[in-house]
Amino acid sequence: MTTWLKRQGFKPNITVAIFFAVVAVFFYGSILWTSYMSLTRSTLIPKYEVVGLVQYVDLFTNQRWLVSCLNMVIFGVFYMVGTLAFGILLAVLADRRIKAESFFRTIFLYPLAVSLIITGLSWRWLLDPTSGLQALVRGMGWESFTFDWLTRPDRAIYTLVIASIWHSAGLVMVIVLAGLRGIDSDLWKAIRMEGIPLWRAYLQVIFPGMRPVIASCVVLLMSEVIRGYDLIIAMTKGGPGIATEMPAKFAVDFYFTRVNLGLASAASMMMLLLSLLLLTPYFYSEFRRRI
Amino acid sequence: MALFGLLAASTSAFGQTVDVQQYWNSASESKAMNTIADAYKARGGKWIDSPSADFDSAIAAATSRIAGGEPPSAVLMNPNAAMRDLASGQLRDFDDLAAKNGWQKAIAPIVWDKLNVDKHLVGLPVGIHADNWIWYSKSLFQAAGIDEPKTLDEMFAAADKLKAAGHTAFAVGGEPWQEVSILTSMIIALGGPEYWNELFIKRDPEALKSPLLPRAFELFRKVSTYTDPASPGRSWNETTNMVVTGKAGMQFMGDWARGEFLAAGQVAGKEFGCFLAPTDKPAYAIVVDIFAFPVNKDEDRIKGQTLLAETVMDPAVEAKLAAVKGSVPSRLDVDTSTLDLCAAKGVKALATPGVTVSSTYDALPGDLNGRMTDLATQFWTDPSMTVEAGVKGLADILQSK
Repeated sequence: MTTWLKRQGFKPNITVAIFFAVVAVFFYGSILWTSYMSLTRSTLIPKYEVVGLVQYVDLFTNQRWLVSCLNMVIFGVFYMVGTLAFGILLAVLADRRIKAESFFRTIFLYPLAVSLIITGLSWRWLLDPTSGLQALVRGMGWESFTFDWLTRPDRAIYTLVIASIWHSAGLVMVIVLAGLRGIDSDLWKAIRMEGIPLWRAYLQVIFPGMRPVIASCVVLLMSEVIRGYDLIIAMTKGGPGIATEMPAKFAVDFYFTRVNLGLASAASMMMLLLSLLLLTPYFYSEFRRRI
Repeated sequence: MALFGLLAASTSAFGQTVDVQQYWNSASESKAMNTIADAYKARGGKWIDSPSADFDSAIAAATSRIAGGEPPSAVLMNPNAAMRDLASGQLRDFDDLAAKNGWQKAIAPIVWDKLNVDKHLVGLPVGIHADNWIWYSKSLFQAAGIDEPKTLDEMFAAADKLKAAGHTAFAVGGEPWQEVSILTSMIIALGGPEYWNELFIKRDPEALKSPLLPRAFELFRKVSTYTDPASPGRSWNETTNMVVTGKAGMQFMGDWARGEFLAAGQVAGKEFGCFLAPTDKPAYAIVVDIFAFPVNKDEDRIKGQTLLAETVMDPAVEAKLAAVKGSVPSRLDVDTSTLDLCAAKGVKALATPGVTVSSTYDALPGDLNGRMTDLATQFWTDPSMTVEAGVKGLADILQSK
């Protein structure tokens, strides 16, 4: 393979340079253009006259944006904690060499293969109070059973959390399980010899050694939170009211249907800023130590 | 390869193609779109359908296609802020065809003004709807012994009777745009056309201080207490279907709802009835369906646009479309005598001077209508939000630009 590549006059540095050029233009170029647009009064068609931070002022007096940001925090916290806890628990159980491990692994990994749109639609049908779970249980005779979170403005956001955990827990399970399988068997022998209870062994010995693995999971999940869009569209469309609006949906809506390019760009810039704020400290503390 | 080139060349030499970005999916709407498509194909054109799930996604698809340099040849939309924005160089104007065929004389002045931007005709009307209608089930009204309400009080009394009889009094689809039209229906019922124009067209700060507004918000909230638990997220045509099947008594909805009753084989005045939001100052808040034609470069597609323009403006097509869609024809010279009871009410309102006003969809600049929608849906779903907060929110929105 190497000799064949050499014969082709393969120049890795040129390939890398092209790659970086593409990234620079399409990625950083787009960011620059968006930040420029966020300083204009562009509506449907870009306008190039800079008017300052008007759009940002507009953005932070817009109730829907504020609700979107708050929703992202609520959703993010519950989703990440829930998915990590559930995924890790599944991984530990699978790691205990249970019977039919691969069968269960497939079952729990399967939701990840389902698109977020399908996930959202299925959960919407399941949670619809008049035709889903609630109606089913009531039909079986439990008349007072109520589970109408999907249609309650103060609870609808948690139905998104439930659906997302269902969707992502398998991913965390597989990544953590791979990490667990990589643990040196001598470590387990030592643990057994010392007679440390299993839960302490995991919490105080095994998991601290797996910080980079868990960090990868956190980064993956966090990006899901910030770009969360498909699931909301399929499941609640941001409703009831504006109870499940999120920043990415805000940006898309204002780009296209509300034809307010300036405000949507300002929202996008805030999302970028938010991502950096959330992820930078994490990358810093988790990945620097390994270098 | 050469063969393909030849084929492509031969079709483009004779073809007249339109690529239509549209969102008419309900039973009556798709019949209406097929009416246009069939008439267009009968004239020898080739029709490419680009459907979207709803109005918002159709506009989103159209704008991104225009921005991406692959514009559709026609977009089904309203003469709203987005159209006025696109009109600065992105839309083809039809001044020449309008002059040749005398279109201006055939269209009511208030509609004509909406279709023109800087004196260029950039939108062609497909039909005229109005937003402030209420639809009801005749059988439920008869069973409960209710007559068609003539005042808002009578309407709520009717709602109480329906509720007592175990029905959903007001069928509401809990989507923001459906909710906001209940609020605007209340405002127009209480204030009439003059107040409406001061509030939404002139955006006079004095109009915002009127005691009408808090009252409108109160009544808006009152309607929300009559809805059913499955309301959130339900589409408008599913909701109309509740009235069609006698599960619910009334629905606030534009007269595109009439098309759904007709598609279910019902007859106005027999199975279903209609009235404008009850008031002593009659008003008719129109929403015009239009085709806008983004600038295309391909000769074949330009010819297609011309052919579609002529098809849409054909009085025969307009009449046929109005009959299935529930709209009133946008041309004044179309025979309306065959239209039903409800359409006749619409035609009469349109013909009465001073009654017709522009709906907020079309009239408000920029994203103000969208922001008002956000406010209305928030007020609707959050009972803890006060009427004062609602009025203040509306004032902030209307005065922001």
